[in-house]
Amino acid sequence: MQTRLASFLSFSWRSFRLATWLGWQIESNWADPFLFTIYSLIKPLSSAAILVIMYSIITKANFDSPIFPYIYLGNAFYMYVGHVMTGISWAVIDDREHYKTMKYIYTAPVHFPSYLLGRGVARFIIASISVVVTIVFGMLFLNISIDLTQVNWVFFCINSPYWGRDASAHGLDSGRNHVVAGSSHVRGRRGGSRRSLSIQWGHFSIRGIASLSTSDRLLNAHYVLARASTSPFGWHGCLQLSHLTKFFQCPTFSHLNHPDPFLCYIIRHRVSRLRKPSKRTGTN
Amino acid sequence: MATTVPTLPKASSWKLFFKTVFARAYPRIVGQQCEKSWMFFDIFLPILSIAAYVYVYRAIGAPEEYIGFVVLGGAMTAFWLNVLWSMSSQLYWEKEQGNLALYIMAPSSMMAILLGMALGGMIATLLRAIVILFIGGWLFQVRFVVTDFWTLLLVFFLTMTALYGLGMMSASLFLLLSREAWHLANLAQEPIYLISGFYFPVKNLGFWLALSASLIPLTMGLDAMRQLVFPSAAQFGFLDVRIEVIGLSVLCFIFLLGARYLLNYMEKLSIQEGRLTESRR
Repeated sequence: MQTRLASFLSFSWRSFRLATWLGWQIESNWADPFLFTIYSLIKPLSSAAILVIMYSIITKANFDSPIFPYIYLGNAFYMYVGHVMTGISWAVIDDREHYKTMKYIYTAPVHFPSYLLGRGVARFIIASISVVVTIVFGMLFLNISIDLTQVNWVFFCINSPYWGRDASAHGLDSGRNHVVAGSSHVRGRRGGSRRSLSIQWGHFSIRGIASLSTSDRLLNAHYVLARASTSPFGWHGCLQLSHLTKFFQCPTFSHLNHPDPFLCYIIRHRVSRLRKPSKRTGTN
Repeated sequence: MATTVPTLPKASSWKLFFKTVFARAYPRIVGQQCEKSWMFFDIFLPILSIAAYVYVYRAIGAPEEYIGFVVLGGAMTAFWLNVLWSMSSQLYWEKEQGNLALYIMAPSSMMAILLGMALGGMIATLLRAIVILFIGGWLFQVRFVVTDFWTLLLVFFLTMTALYGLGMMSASLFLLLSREAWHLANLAQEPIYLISGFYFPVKNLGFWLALSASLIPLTMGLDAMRQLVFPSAAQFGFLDVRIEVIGLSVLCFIFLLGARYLLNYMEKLSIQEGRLTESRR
């Protein structure tokens, strides 16, 4: 039994490691390192700058208000959602449509979920760099104060891996959708791919609204939706990210949110899901 | 006994040009309406991103005009994305799929093919943009008050001509690219939304930055349209609408001429080198 487990782990690890290397090469070697660095920095900073300018126009650059770090950090962490989810699922499109290698990889002795996860790692690294750069930029130039002594590290540590797993699971599920879309739609591969991609982007956008929203009414609505959601991925990942900002800014956000019932619900929900592995994805 | 081969009457050069334009525009207009789910998502997704920005504005107590700016800007993003992904990078995709050689060998002008692509894309996107505008306006209670309809129509026409001219011009440049084409098109989204003022008045970027951003036709076009659709927006305007109309006319001329020049240049270059690949470095 132990030998079988060890052999499976070694098999999965090998698939994961090689896919990570491959994913990084695909993501980064299209340009020289300087251009790639610029590319990796400009996009997230521009995205954050849109919100910063919108905010500064309306509030006359009052960056001391607690609502600003909430918006800014929510937007920064949201990068993970797009990067991790597309990183994994886009690998299927890329391999099948562009490089035409999907069938060879699928039939090769590779643990396919580990392979897809590995392909997502490159984007995860890029997203992490973008998030760090965005936050450091905010701290240096926009007066965002992050007091590390105020961080609720317990909640942070509990929530982050869960969210990571959620995003990865969603990416894997999208990847599976892409595989299915490629083989079954009568309109041909492109139509199916685009449809499943669109659905995926729909998830992103809804999550985007959740992560950016700041009004009490919306947070209430998200709370209700999160409770009502039956999807194994649901809204929680993004909501968690959005609420992670609270862990950085505990004292100042007390009037904006209703954290405790929500967080208790999330954690309770997570623990119950850990006990019941998802049948739909085959992942946990 | 000699057999006679029936021959079709040859199209004259102008007739061929317009037939090519129509033939290339047709799949864009008809094809994009065939797949109902594409239509739904093309309309639904931009509304979601508009909603995110609208809620941010509402949360920080912005005046109602700004909600209208976001809805109008969000509708115009459809055109930018269409130019970026279906014009600029189109020849690159065609090259990847093996159609480019057929286009080049066909006895018709490449300019007509690009123009057909632009016209088809513009009409198909216009339908989506109108729906986004109406749904967005209805959802967020935006009041559009058109002060001068004909000037608005002129500004829109000039913006589209210049924008798709820019797309035609960059299509030639994208032919030089390989995998970086996808990344560069991806890169030209958020930074362009930022400097063109899709979600806020471009005037706030400062005069010189806004002026530089005006090289992208949507900057001036969007600014002029906002001034014409929201009467109170004149105070947020970057330049006077008349100046913006002149600026857009100049951009139309430059980009269409540039498209023709670059296309000829690329064709010459590929004939000289005997290839149309990215390894020309």
